[in-house]
Amino acid sequence: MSAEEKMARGRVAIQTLQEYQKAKKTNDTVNLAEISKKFNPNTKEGEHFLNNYFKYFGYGYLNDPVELIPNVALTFYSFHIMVALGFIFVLLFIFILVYVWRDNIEKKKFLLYIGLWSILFGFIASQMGWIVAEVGRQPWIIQDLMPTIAAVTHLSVSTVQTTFVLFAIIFTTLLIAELRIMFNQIRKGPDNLKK
Amino acid sequence: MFEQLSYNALQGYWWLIISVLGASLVFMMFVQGGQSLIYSLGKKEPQLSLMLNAIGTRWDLSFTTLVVFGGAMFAAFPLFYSTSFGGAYWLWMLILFTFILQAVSYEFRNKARNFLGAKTYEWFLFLNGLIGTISLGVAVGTFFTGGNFVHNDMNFVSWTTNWHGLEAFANIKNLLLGFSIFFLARILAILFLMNRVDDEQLYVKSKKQLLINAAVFLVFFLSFVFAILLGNGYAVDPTTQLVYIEKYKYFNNFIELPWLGILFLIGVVLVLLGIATPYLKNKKLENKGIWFAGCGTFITVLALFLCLGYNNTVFYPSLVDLQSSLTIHNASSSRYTLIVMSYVSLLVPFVAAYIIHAWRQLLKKKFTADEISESDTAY
Repeated sequence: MSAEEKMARGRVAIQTLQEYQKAKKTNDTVNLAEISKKFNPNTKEGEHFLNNYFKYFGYGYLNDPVELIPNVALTFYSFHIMVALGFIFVLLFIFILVYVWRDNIEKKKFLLYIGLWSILFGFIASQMGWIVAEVGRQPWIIQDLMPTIAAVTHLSVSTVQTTFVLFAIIFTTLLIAELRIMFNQIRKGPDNLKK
Repeated sequence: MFEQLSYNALQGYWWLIISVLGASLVFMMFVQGGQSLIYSLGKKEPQLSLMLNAIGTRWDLSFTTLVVFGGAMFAAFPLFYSTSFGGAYWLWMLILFTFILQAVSYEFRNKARNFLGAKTYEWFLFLNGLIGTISLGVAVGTFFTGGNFVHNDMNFVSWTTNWHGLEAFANIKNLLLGFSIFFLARILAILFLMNRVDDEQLYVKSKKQLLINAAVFLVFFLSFVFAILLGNGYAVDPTTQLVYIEKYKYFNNFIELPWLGILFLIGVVLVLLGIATPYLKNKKLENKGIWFAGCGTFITVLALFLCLGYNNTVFYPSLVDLQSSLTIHNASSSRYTLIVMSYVSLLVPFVAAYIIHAWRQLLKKKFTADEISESDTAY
């Protein structure tokens, strides 16, 4: 079935729901009963409507088949980076485990450096995963039933931008504070070594 | 077993849970209260460190209770969540930002090279104590006074002012509740410090502050209660589902559900008793004020929340379109969701038991100045 066909059927489903809401408001019991039959899965009519029209409810909110396609490149590369890092972690841990068993890991400086920087990889892998989940899901919040544009709160762009900027300022400031505290403590070294 | 309950009963059960969380939250705000007192009671060391370490062991419990309250609202009454958090956006953002500042300020205050200096972090704590409590009070006030939102038939919410929630500060009833919470938090903090901290100077100063804050609290709280009881409330007709304005609605709730009215009165009496304990000549009760006032706070707020939800009351009125208002019946999740979550809610007593157990470990003895200087994990 083509995307246009799905979108047309989705629009029919949305229209039917709106008619139902209107009938409910005006207490139009005749129309109400008729439309309710369409949503009843036990009748033949209901089964047909649910499987052929209501199934594409969310498509009715979309205008262009292009909207159905998420950003493939971003999703693809993020996923591959994430999985690659996952395998690197496994490899890294095998090496570390081997040297810990052999009890000479303190001498493997190169490995220790990689171990330290791999902390960063952990964050990167995690963020890549989120990109896959949130970009790959577009345009759907609920697959086929609700696209993100229909679900998003009615806030102005400036509101969202302001919030983002506020978060950025606060968390950057706190990050600087955290790093300074940490580096100071690291420089001082552990207390029990002072003696 | 929850399948046996009707949809209405499930909604009532979940509103009870919400009310319990709301009541716990207001009780936990003694942490915020303590933070707002640092410039009055904690002007010098060691009082300041004593205060912050005494309340600091519990700071996360106030923030987490707030989040659990929001989470429970999201799960049980998602329409409220989407309306208020998405609509009264800046009000909740304001609350959120002050709590973010609280969290780090405890941790960073005393560490070397903390970039902003101890005084700044203490000021953040004060900010959280001042603005966090008042804003939360204003937000809860809107449960009584209403918000500016409209729902269309797909339940999409539109907030009709550009202030996105901040306009609630312009309503005097909201402010009365906001300031009541602020001063109540301070009272609870003072009673808590008198119970937990062993320092003569702090004790004397606290006792003085108690009277002042208690007096102001009573003025604001009684004004709020009278304004609410004597004002218009929002009710819903259970058969037609039409929302209408009813005079003395909240007062009527207390009368029509007498156990609710009694609960409310018991709560208020306990709070007053708690405030009075340091002045009674009873040595045993002298420092136990926090128990009375704490329980009293919990019970009073519980009664207020239940008054909002039960008896066909509207718990979130719309000032723009009366029929968009929210009741516990039209804002809730589906029956299936509520049943499933009710099973999960059976875990809560275990969580509570663990929290109590953890607290007891921390509460072994009173705080003294020496204890802080010897501790590695002091704030």
